[in-house]
Order: sequence, then structure tokens, then C-alpha cells
Amino acid sequence: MNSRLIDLRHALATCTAAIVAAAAAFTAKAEALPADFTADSIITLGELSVTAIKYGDGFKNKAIASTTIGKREIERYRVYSFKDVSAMVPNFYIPDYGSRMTSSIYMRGQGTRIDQPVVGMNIDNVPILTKENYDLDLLDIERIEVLRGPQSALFGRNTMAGVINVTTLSPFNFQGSRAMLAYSSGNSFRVGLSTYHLLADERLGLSVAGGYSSSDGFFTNEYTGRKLDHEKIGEGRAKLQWKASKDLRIDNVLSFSVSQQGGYPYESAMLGKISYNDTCFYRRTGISDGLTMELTRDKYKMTSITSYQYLDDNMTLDQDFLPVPYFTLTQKRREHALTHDLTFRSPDGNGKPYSWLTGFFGFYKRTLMDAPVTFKEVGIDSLILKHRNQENPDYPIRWESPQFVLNSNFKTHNFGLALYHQSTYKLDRWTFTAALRLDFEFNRLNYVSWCNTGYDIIRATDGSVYRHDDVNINDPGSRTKTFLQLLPKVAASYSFDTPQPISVFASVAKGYKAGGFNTQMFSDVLQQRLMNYMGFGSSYKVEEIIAYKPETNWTIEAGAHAECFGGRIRTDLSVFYIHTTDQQLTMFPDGNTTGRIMTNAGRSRSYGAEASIRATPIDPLTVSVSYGFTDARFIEFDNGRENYSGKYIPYAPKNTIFAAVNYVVPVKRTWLGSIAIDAHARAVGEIYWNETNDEKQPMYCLPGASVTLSGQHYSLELWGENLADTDYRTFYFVSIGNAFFQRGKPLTVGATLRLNI
Amino acid sequence: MLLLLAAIPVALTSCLGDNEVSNTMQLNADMVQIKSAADGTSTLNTASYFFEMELTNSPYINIRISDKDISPVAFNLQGLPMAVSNSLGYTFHAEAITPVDANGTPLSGIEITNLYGQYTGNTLDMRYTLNGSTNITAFPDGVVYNYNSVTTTAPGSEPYDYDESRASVVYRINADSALVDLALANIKFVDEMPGIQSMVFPSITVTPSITGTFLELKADSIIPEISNTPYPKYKITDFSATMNPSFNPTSYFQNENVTGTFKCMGMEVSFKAQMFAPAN
Repeated sequence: MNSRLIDLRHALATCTAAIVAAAAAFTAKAEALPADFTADSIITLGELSVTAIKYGDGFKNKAIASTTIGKREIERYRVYSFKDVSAMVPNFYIPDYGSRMTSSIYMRGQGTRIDQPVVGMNIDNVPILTKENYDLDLLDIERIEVLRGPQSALFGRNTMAGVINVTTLSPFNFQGSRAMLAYSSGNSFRVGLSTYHLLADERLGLSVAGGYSSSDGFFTNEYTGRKLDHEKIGEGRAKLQWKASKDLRIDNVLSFSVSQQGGYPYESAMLGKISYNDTCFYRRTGISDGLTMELTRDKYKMTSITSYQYLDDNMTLDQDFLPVPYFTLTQKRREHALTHDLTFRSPDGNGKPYSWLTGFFGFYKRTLMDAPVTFKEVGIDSLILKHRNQENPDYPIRWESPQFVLNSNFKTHNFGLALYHQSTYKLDRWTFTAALRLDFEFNRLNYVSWCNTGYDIIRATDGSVYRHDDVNINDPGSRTKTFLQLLPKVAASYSFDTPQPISVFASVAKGYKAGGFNTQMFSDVLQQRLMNYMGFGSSYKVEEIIAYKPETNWTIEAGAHAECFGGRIRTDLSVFYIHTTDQQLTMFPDGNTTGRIMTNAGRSRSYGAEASIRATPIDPLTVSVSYGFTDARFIEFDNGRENYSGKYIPYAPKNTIFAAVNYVVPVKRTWLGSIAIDAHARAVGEIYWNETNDEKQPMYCLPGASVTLSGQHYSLELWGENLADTDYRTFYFVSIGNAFFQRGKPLTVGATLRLNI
Repeated sequence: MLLLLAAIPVALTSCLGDNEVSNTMQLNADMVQIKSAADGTSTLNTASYFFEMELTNSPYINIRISDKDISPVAFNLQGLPMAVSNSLGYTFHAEAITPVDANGTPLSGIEITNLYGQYTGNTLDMRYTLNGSTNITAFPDGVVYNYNSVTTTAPGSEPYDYDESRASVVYRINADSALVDLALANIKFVDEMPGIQSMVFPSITVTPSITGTFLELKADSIIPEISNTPYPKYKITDFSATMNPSFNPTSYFQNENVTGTFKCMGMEVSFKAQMFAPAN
């Protein structure tokens, strides 16, 4: 047994013992926790939240492993986007690398770097259809719910490992104006203004929020001498909530976000520094509007959620990340998406043991994308001429221009239709749930790849031109994929007859992640076609590499929710086993190719456990610990060149730990109500970086702390993250034979001022 | 809506194969002929063939042969019934058939016997006896042999076997000049070699064997071409190959293959390509 595991066990044991001892010490005079303490992480009853619509209010006694992060924790840990809750939720890890486009989510050993996510995301009920649009900064987040385990029966595609539901502050829950001003390391600046009002006899709620942030970044490109992970973000949101009558509720949330960032601080393992010559940036404009309507009738409730999403982004990369003119990639995309989720369910609190939910979901997404790859001098020389001219030194090739472009243009039409139903039956203390979804998806890719360039073939003997060859490639094509899935789920939970709520549950569910197209491979296909012109290179079997299959899994899960000592200790436990078929994994193809390919990994399995404990031994002291353990390995994965069976699945961490202690000192002065002291730590690891498991990030820990001075209308927080200045890696990859990695952010300190008027 | 529903079975019915009444295919081909005379001499020439095939329930073939070296120069073989086989494609056979002219009038002075032919969908081969004395084997002047294997041996190293489903051998014969261009496509001699789309060995001398049953290809030295560019680095020496129609009356041309050996960069390479994948 290695020392790291012993340390881990020791840390957990110490933490658990401390919590138990503290709880025991205060058991004798344990009083029920004031509502103010528990309100942080429970759902506001009656909200028009998509999770509340589908699961009912709260997850306390439900057969679901979940974590709810409330407004107080969101402010304490400065959660502006979903990446900021990484590791706060057990077995939930979102590495911060690349740019805001790279929203890779890993949950319970599952996840992918590109294309379809394993975790779905809803922001104010809008199901975000494109993973690249997940990483949004949001002002005034009220609550983040992370549901772990397959949610495909009710939420459909790409929720096979879970669902994140983000809810922003409602004008029905807060009235007034708020301001936020923050400054931190990296010359990072953030400002937010919002105002919340009730009108029309408090039946109409209106809020407007806007924010701006900028940062110079933390990492320097040695080639230019300038910081490269700088960014500027602007965002706005208008929320209109109308209680039209006692039976009709209508919410509409319109939001936009504009971001510009440098990003991609990839360090060359060979050079030992970040150094590349071409520009990298990511720019994104997103607009979304979500309309939620709920109509209550005697025998049913009908809820309709309609959304429109627009995404316009541009990722431009020095794709070699080296200080030489190799090759660059620009990927410009415009996307329009419509979703509609219509549910009918039995009315709340009708006293009947049987309740039901039936829904229809449909979406349409249209994407236009240009993805030209520009080969520059060194790229032409290294990736093309070197190999060709080694083979024929008597008749070498000379390119006609210093650079040329491999163009690819894609147009995708993607739509899906689903019918789902859930029945729930309560029998004494038992609750039985069965759900089934029929999910159909259509995906058509129209593409055209083209390249117009040329080269001279030279006689080495006298340097004269033997022949000139023009390269004119124009490959249009179209592929269509359809997917049909039945996604069942059965669950049972039992609530014990105790004064404090204690329940256990077990569930079996199927999860599903849609298949798709490897658009990243088209530049490789073109490059191969170019080599074919010269008589070299094996042709890609385009039919085989262009598309990848859906991924499905079965998850068996058991767990418990418990509260004791008047809610002073709340625990959630779960164990799970996941069997995945056709796991989608991102691979970098062998050889001198430039793209990435999504491949289906045969079969894999993942098992693990999760525990979250939140204790409030005395009113001003809160201790929280979340631990997740995952052992995720390939059962069968032979890519034809190597057999990875038995190896750990890359990029997914084995352990996630979050531990926090928060102590509030009441001051009760006119200008100062309290001082809150927080100390916390996130630990993640090990993470294997490749399928061969010969590169890994050992487990690392990022301690943080804050002191918050709070008055009636303000709070001032002085904070620090990664206080030990731990050096760790968030990403590693090998491209055209060169290894790169990204380091995590160093020690950062800052101050945040919040005003509530 | 009712009309639409009614239209569906009609449309489906019309797509069924039973309604197929005609499936005619016409092919014009310059065929290479190996002529093996009764005196033991064999020659090579090119003749023009025109095939008209009816591939429906009762398939048959009409053949028009134009050979400037015989008299009459052109004649027709009409209405040869064809048999269908999963392993052989379409085959046709006649112990004796009377050639006719363009008007269907029987021709005198010419006699065709022991005729065997095979159409695989990719290629058409024939063998027959002319006037009871000359055996003629006719096959296209350009053929792709798909099933391929390459074995490379070099002093001091393990033999290298290359078995690639996309590899093929393509030849194009100019019977008049008795030269053949042979192309090895998607081929490797050693693992370190880049995948080569097509390596062409140009202008190899071709002669029919004395028995007239196969062709012999020989060249002392060849500079191969890749993408129409000479590659002196891959200079080929001691090239020797045979193209063997390997006809027999039961398996027709199923064992048709090309085999050869050559030396390249100090290695000895042998290759074999077959028209058909070997039966399991």
C-alpha cells in the first residue's frame, strides 16, 4: 500500500473523528439548527426549477446522489461558473485548462474532452446543448445542484453521468440592488450590478443583472514576453417572473455573454516553457432565452420550457504550440438551437400514493463551422516535404508558396425527439420509482474540404524543374447518423421511522451519450489526401473515422441520506458500479497528423464511493467534507496497435476531496455584524494522462482561506486560493510527437466587496 | 393522407426485384490474347471485344470479336447462356458455337469450340479454341488483382510479411509492343517504408509462355515511379513475374494470379496477388 493512500486514509479518519467528536460533545444539548443555517442548501419550495419539476422539491429522501451548493457557499467560494465547484462535489472534476471552450467534465470516471459531455447542464431551466457554452460567468447564482449518476430517463442525451442545474437569484427571493467589486492576483478585476423588484401587487418580478470582468492572466508566453491567458468577459441577464394567476406562472430569462480570452497556456515538455509564435484566442458570444410556463389544474400540472440558444465563437490556435511557423487552426462556428420540454405531472401534495410524470422533449440545432488549418513553412517542411524528400532525394519537392490552407466547412443539422414517463408509488415508508425514455436523435453532417496549392518537382542533379503539380482537392460529402435509445431507470428508497430524516436508496439506470462526427479529423484527411498526391500515405477510411458511436452505460447505485442532531450533521453516502459500452475517448492519432479523434473504447467499468458530511457542532462553526473515490478502468480497449485493457481511464481523477471549516464570530456592531473565517482545501488525484498510464498527475491539494467582514448591507472578503502555491498540472497531451501540459493557477489572493441595498 | 397511405404499398411493390424485366450491360474492351498454336508457338496480340450481357432471370451473353490477325476479322457469338454462381460470378460455356456475322448469318471457315468464359463484375476472361488448332486465352489489357501478400527477406533479419486488404497489383499490357506497366498499390516492402499509394514498374518485357498458359515478365533493372516521378532510391533489379490465368473448366479463372520476385535496396521481395480471395 503506498504512502499516499495511507495519508489519504489518515486524513479522512482524522476529519471524520473530529466531526464525530464535535458532534458527540454537543449532542447532549444539541438544538435544532436555526433555519438560517440550513437554508443555504435546500431548495426554495415552489420554484419553477427544472429539477423541481422532474424530481419534486429537494433531494433529501430521493433515490438520487446529489449535492446542492447554496448562495452562501457560492459567495464564500466565489463561484461564478460551474468550473468553480470542481471537487466541491464528490467525484466531480472539471479541469481548468485551455480556454472557456474546453469544458471537460469528469464524473465518476466518465467524461470526454471534446464533443458530447457526460453531464448535462441547465441554466435557469435552459438545457445548454453545446458543451462549449457551459463555461459562462453568471452573476448572483442562487443555487447549483449537481445530480450524480445517470439522469438520462428524465433529462435525455448527454446526462449519463449527471446533471448540473444552475439557478440565478429570483426577484421573488430578493428585492433591492446588489453590487460586487473584486480585485485579485493577475490584475484580475470583476464588477457586477443587479437590481431586483416586485411589481403589480408583487405578482410580477423583474430583475436585471450585468457584469464585467477582466484579467491579465497568470502565464507568460516566453516567445512574446506577454501574458497569454488574459480575458475580458461581459454578461447580462434580464429575468421576468409573473404569477399571472394562482394557476399560471410564467418565467422568462434572457441572457447574453461576450468573452474574449487568450488562453491555451500549454507548456512544452521539451522546451520546459510556454513558447509559441502564433496567436491563440477564444472569442464567444452567446445569447439564450428560456421561457418556462406552469399551469396547474385539479388533476395535473403542465409545465412547458422553451429555449432558444445562439452561439457564435472563434477558436484560433497556434496548433503546434511551438515557437516555429508550423501550423495554425481557426474554428469559427455559428449555432442556433431550439429546445422544448413539455411535462404533465400529478399535482403536488394530493395525498395519493401514486404520482406520475410524462413528458415530451424536442430539440433542433443547426451549426455552421469553418475550420481552416494553415500549414506554414516549418509545417510544410516537417510534416510533408521531409518525409517525401527523404524517399526521393533525386527528385525533391519544393512548395510553391510559404504557406497553404486546408479548408473544411461543416453544416450540421441535429434534432432529437423524446418521450418519457416516470411513475412513483409510495408504500408505507417505501418509495418505488420507475422511469422510461424513448430517445431519438438525427444528426446530419454536410461537409466540404478543399485545398488549392501546388509544388515543383526538382531534378537534384541540376536544380531544374522536372514537373509542376497542382493540388486541387475538393471533397464534398454528407453523412447521416440516427440514434434510438430506450433509457430505463428503476429506484427504491426507504425512509426510516426516526425523528430525524434518514433514508436509504438503490437504483439501476441506463445512461446514454449521443454519437457524432469527428470534424477535427478532416484536416488530417485532407493532409493525407495531399500526401496521396505525391504517392504517399495510406488513405484514411473516411467512413470509419468520420463518425463515432453512442456511448451507453448501466449504473447500479446505493446510498443513504441522513440528518441527525437536529440537522447539525447531514450526511450523504453512495456507492456505485458503472459498466460502460463504447466509451467515447479523445485520442491523438499516431504519426504526423494534426487532429484529434473521438473513438469508442470498447468496454470500461467504474466503481467507487462518495461521502459528504456537513456538521454544525456549534452555531458559528460549520465543517464540511466531501470525498469521492473512483476506480475507472478499461475492460476491453484494443485500438489495433495497443491493448489498454486493465488500464485506468485517462483524465478522470481517482480521488476528489473537499474539506472546509467556517467559523462566524458575531460582532453585532452597527457597522460590522460578523466576521467569518474560512479555511478549505480541494484535493484531486491521481489523474492518468494517457491510455498507457505512463504519465500522471499525482494527488495534489489546494488550500484556500478567507476572512469576511459582514454588515447589514455589505460584506468584504479577503481571500486566497492555492495558498501553498502547489505546482500541479491540469492537462497533458501529446501532439505530433511533442508533449505539452498546462499548469494549474498559482497562489492567488484577492478582495471582494459586495453591497446589498 | 389516404392517398399517401395508399401510395406507400404501391411504391414498395414497384421496388421489388420480381418486377425487374431487363438488366442489360454492354462492355467494350481491348483484350489481350495469348494464342497458343498447335506447333507449340505462342504469341501475344490485342483484339477488340464487345460484350452485351442480359443479366436477368435467364442471363445470356452476346460477344463480338474483332481480331485483325484472323479471317474473318470480325465475328459474333450469339446467345450464350450464362450460369450464376456465388463464388464464380457469371460463367458461360459452349462445346461448339457457330460464329455469325453482324446480320446473324452463319460464317463459314471459322469454328469456335471449347469456349469458357467468366464475368466477375470486375473483369471478363475467356478461353476458346479457334478452328480446332489455336487455343486463345483472352483477358483485359488492364486488370486489378486485389488479394495481395508481400514477403520480404533480407540477410540477417526476419522475413517481413505484409498483408493488407487494400493492397493490389494492377497491370496494363501493350500487346503490340509486348511491354507491361505493373503497379503495386498500397504496398510496403518493409515496415519502415511509408505507405505508398502506387509504385509503378514501367515497361517490363512480357512474353507468353511456350505453353501459352501464362505470361512471363522480366526486367534486369527498373527505376520505379511514384506519382509519375522516378524514384531511383527504390531501384529494382532482377524483376521476374508471371501472370497466370490458371484456367480450368470447373473453377474457371478463379485461381488467376500474378506472382513475382525482385530485389530492392538489398532485399528480396516476393509478391502474390489473386483475382479472387482464396476460398475459406
